[in-house]
Amino acid sequence: MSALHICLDHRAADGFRLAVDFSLPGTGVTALYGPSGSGKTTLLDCVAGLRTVRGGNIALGEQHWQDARRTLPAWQRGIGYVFQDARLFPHLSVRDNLLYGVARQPTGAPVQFDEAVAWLELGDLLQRQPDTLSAGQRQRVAIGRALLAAQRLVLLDEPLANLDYEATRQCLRGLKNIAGQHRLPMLYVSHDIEEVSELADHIALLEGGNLVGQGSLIDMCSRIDSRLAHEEQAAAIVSGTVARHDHAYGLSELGVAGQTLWVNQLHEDIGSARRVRIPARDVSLCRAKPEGTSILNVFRVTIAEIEDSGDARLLLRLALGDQFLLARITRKSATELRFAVGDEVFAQVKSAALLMEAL
Amino acid sequence: MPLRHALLCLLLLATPCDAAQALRVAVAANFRATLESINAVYERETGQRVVLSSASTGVLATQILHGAPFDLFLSADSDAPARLAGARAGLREVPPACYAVGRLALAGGELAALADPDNSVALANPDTAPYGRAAMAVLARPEFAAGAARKLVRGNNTVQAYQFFAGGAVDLALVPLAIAPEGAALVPAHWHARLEQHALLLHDSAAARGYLNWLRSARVRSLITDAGYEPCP
Amino acid sequence: MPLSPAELDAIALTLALAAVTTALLLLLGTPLAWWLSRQRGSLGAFIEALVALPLILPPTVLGFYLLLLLAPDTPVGRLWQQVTGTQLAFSFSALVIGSVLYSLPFVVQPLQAAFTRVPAGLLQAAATLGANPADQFRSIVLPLCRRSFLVAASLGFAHTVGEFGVVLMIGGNIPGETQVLSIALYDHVETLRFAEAHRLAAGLVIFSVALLFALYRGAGTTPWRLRA
Repeated sequence: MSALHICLDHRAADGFRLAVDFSLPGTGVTALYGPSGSGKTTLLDCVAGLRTVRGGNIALGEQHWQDARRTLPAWQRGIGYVFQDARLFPHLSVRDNLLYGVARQPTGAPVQFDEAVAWLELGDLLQRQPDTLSAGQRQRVAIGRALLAAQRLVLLDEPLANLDYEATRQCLRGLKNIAGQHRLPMLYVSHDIEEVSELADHIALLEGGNLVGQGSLIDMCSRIDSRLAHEEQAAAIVSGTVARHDHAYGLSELGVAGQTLWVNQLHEDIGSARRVRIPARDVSLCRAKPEGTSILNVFRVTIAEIEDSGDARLLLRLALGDQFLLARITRKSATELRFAVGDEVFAQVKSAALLMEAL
Repeated sequence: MPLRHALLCLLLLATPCDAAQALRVAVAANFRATLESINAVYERETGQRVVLSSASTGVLATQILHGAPFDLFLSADSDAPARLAGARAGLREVPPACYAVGRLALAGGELAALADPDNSVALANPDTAPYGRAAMAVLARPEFAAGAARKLVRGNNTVQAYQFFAGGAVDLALVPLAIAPEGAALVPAHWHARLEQHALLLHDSAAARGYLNWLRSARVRSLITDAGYEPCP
Repeated sequence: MPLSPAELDAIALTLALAAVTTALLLLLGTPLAWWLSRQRGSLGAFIEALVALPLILPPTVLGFYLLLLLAPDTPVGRLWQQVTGTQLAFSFSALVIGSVLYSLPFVVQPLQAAFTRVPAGLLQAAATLGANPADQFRSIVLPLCRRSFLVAASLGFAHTVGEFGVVLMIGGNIPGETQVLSIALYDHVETLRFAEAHRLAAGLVIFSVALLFALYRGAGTTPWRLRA
């Protein structure tokens, strides 16, 4: 599939300047990540054609969506757009909302109606009117509507921002189902790294209207020089293979770089791949292999980088085979234990969150 | 689509009926009722249909000035026809002619009641209606000076002035004899300027001339007199 | 006592005038109301004020200026004469023109208010789903504003049925051609024939109350609600 090229230089009335020039992969889920006010939604609206910024250049593969000569209107771009507020049409049933874009597609759709209904668990809602739905249900319908309308690209603008925990889980489940099918590339705007970790393959970091980095999610998460590593919820993502199920204890064993990671019991077949998110603050380090600890997951790792910014805490990047973990420990511990790059140490992992199936 | 059919039907219904031979007469509102009874006789005798359009003299004069398709104009005064004849060259050939002289009457009491300041009096607007001007002349007479503090209520026209009285809103009304109730006191003609009502031929035709002549025939004069007007001199 | 032929003529004429006027008002008022609902500048406010003018101007004054505009010796009147071969002033067409202008705010204002309430976000959503602007209007705005169209049409119709001053001035009160119900009623009052006047007035009142009642009762039965 074709890459998305975006080149914009726009100064808003309030002085905010959005200046980016980059290409995003034309497959999988790309997260547009950044704090609020970083220009994410403006960027997404420009890609959608809902907003036109003078002098911008946007192209999906060979098709120019905006250049010096013309701007392709939103309704000709073959996109689907999921808004923060679902924006369902109040006079149409759920079914008719879902079919709105389908009826307006010039050619056959990559996603069939029944598939979208199944992935998003909409079967029981089809006859309902939008005003009888909960916020989470509405957002799932909105996701389905955009997905069914999309020919080339799905855009999502913080679709989970206004949902409670349970609704968020349900929507995420649907989105993971969709992402797992790899039918359409998705551009996903978010300021929540956990959400992004669940879904994205690729991540583009926006800050103050500028692109400050992009790369694969796994790389970006464990790079100590990336802004992600310095957030409170900084976490590394590792991928493993399901090795064994332990029904007696309700756990499953993942093989990660020849070592073992226990997680809550999975239903996948032996040999299938999973991603796991390991927060930096939940990793502690020992010089010697810990004995008699209640913590199940202990890895032998090599210290690859240490970042000392003079704070009370340090950030360490730990090599685990060809993958990496992050650990945040106090400077006092690091000094007393004399950690140095190249040392082999043991990393205790207090928690590990399972993510979607790895790619 | 049924709505469209309905619309079409309505349009067909509303297309002007063949009014080519009908004589179109614009008549001042105060004379309309009288003219209708006169026309009933005329239509019966000649078979000539006469279609009446009425409004206040001022409105009718404005419309005629801007091309209203009337054959004849029966004004409530003599000024409007004279002004029209002066304004439009085509209207000068047949000069305006008197067809009735109006008389003023007091509804609600004897003439002496006008001397009582407690009695409110309705009259037509003297700025626009000749009957209103006549009523003002009556009220200004020395014998009614005692009632000068009376409350005056002005109607847009004579009919409205009468309606104020009929509705009980005022004690007295100075209105045309033609619309005054029975028992109203006739005001002496010499107390005010003569209320001559003039007719003007707008669209010359045999039918229009015939009608105008008939209007001034002895037969019609008696009908007009019965209705509360005096014949023209 | 049955209605006289002249009264029947007046009723038929009134219904035809109101129907034609309402149809034209919807045709002209819809794009105008849409344009106004998307305007924020002073031009929009100015046009809005012009549209509202008939609410303020006395009908006879409006009628007088229309007469000055449409008379046979004016450019408009001459053009009409050349194109159609008939005189414009004191014709049914003149009544339609006057009624359209006079009832314009009654159609434009409810539509404009309804269009303003349609969230722009819904139209954006429709655009991203492949709907061009005309399609957005047809598939989103029209169904969401269905009731307001009904209100606008009914008000336009009722107001045209009840209008008097404008049609008296530019119509000339010609039976069978321009004498509508309200003028026939006025004639009855002017000639002090109150029984006939009462009968026509009662008919007019019953018709208007029935229409407006149906309208307002329908207000509670909207099949959907707009969410904030």
